[in-house]
Amino acid sequence: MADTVMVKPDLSFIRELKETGGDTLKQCYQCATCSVICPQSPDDKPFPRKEMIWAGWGLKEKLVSDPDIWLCHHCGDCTSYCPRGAKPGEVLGAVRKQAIQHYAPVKFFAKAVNDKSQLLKILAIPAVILFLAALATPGLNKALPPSLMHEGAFGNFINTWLVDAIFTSAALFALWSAFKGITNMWADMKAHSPQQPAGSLMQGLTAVVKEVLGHSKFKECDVNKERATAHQLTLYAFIGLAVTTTLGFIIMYFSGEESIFGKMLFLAMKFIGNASAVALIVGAGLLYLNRKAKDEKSGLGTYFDWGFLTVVLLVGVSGFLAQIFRYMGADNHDPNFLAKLIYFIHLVCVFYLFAYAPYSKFAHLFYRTTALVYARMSNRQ
Amino acid sequence: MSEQGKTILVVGGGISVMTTAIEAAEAGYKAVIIERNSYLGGRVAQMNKYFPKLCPPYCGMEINFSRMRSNPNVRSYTLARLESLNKEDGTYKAAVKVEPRFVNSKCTACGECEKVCPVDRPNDFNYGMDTTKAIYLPHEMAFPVRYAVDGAACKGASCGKCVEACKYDAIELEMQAETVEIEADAVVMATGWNPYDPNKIDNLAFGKSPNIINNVMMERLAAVNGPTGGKIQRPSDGKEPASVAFVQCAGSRDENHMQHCSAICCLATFKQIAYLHEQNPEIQAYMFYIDLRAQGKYEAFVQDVSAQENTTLIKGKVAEIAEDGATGGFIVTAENAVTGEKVHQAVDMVVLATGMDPASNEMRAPVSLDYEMSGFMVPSSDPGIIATGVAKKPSDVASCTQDATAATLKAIQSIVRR
Repeated sequence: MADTVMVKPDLSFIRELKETGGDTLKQCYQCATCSVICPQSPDDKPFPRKEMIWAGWGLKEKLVSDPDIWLCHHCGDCTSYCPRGAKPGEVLGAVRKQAIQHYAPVKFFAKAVNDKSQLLKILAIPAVILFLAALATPGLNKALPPSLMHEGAFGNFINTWLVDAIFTSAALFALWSAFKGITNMWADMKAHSPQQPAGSLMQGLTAVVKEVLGHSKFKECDVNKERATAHQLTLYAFIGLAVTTTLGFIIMYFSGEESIFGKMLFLAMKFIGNASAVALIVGAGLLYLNRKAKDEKSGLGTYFDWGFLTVVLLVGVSGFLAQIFRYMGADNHDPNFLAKLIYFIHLVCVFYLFAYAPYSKFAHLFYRTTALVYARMSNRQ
Repeated sequence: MSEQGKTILVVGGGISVMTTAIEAAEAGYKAVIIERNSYLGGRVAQMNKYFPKLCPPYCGMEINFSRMRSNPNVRSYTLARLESLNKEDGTYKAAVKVEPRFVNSKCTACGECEKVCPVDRPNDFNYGMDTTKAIYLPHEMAFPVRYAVDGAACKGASCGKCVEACKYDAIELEMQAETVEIEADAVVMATGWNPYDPNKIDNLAFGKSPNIINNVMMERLAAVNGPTGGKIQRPSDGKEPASVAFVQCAGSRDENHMQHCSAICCLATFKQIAYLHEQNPEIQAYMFYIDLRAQGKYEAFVQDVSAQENTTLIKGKVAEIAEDGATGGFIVTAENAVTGEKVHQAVDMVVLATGMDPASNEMRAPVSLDYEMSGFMVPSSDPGIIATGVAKKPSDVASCTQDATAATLKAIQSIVRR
């Protein structure tokens, strides 16, 4: 044996994988049914058979920097055909979670966001910040010149400047975290992957965005076909909500509601916002139901999965309710307690989505996109 | 030896049953066989050759049949099923339903009846790859050497052509089922196995083309008394295949199908590769496996066959079989786990190495027995009921005959110790 390889298993990594959804990984006997059944797996070094043995051997470095773990769309075809109940789909899900935690720059959040027992701590951060903002609002509102006061909404409860400052900071923190994470991952992929990227990054990105918008790869899945549609709906809902937020921003800081232009913008914002909220609730709800229904064949997933889904659903539902309660109140500009409470919950959930995006399951948006671009540029598809 | 003359009931009809019955009879006990087929010999009678010696089972079967014929202690019922088994005062009382054969013991197997029979039926002895008449001799070496009528296929007395053709008054189309009471002092269960139904494995495309067969069908194709006279050819067009893929673990070691390893399929495939190369050394044989399981001396057989030219072993389970357009062939796909590359192999024919599904999964005998999760019998708490052969665990023929001899001894012990 001239080329003997010494495997140095990372035992704690194996243990973590097993605790976070990959408990079946040691069942694998390497028959490679999964690699053939998988509709996404390429001919050259297919997955997930090799990932299963890397996971069994605890080769963390190899796994977290493996673009293939992101080519997997967790459709569950491999899991349903696996002769050993090793559930490769679930194991790859657990590996992706580990990759997100590995590349996330602030380790505290990487751990706490995905640990059920830390949920209170994680929610307390936005709750305290927003509570303090609410406390400061009456004084601030009095001190501000009327020209800087924004009409409407919950401005009397929490000052809109404060809300926007908090959420802009959260978004900047998220963007910084995501950027750190994906650049680190990119460097690792280049260092460990046998395939090297070539050609234009923009072209790769454009192609991937097209693919993601159409969900063309996801739709090749068999066992979990319905999930692709539900996921696509959820994605479009988020895009719609991003547009809504931008419109709101423009109205608030640039046009105002009074001009004709402003009124049109307002109508568009309401329309897109409400349609997106419905889409979000329906999409996330379907994803949730789909997980429950398919739970035997392809796995319900872990806290990482359903915890995040719950937050998404809560954002949708609380946003919708906050709007209803505000309009139900006698004075549109002075919401009652219940409306304030719902608005508060809504803000906490939105903060969770925004600030923790690169640490929660939401991070797949960044990492999967990056890995798909890498795969495309290294001609792997 | 005052216990001699007591009766051992043996349920089944294959090599384990014959061995058990003959051993018991030769030790001075009476043996009664009840078998559901119209003949004795079971799966072994359908085999072309044994591994690793590549000798035909018929010669050993012939010896067994002659031992049975010459020993009045062995009695057998074919087309018979155990209806109930009760234990009273240490004696087992079995009710056995015997289906009508419509042919009595006057039959000389001259074959005149078959010539005039107007009805064809699928030949289950050849796994449906050809037909027989409604009145048929199960196979050349059938024991008893007697024709039988397939009651479901036969048009009955309204046709009656065979009755006219029979010079010996051997055909009784009015024959009725009867129930026979048998008393026994011990019971040996050797109900054997069925090939796992490949239709249940949806990704292996069985049934989509006649050119995807399973390993027991391959035995019949290779057998001189099989549907092709021993020429291995594609069922669709009769052409000799230039290449054949063997798909191991088709249903075995798979919790979606059968949890257990069927123990014999690896060796059976090596044997069948030897059939191919005996017919034409140029035929390309591809064997796709998860692990090669050859115990003890069988390792040498594996080495010999794998060293043959035109034999390719690929470590990776086939998970997809696609028809290859107009050629009537296939593309079988597996990941070679050694190289980490997918293999899309074009072949003319596919053999699924379907494993041993214990017959208890088709029907549980009315006997107080426990079964493990795959349906194999576990030792009974009643020492007078003994399981043997593949009913107990997947085994090759040599292990079955040894285990059957041991089963006879256990049966005798249970009687003597009573």
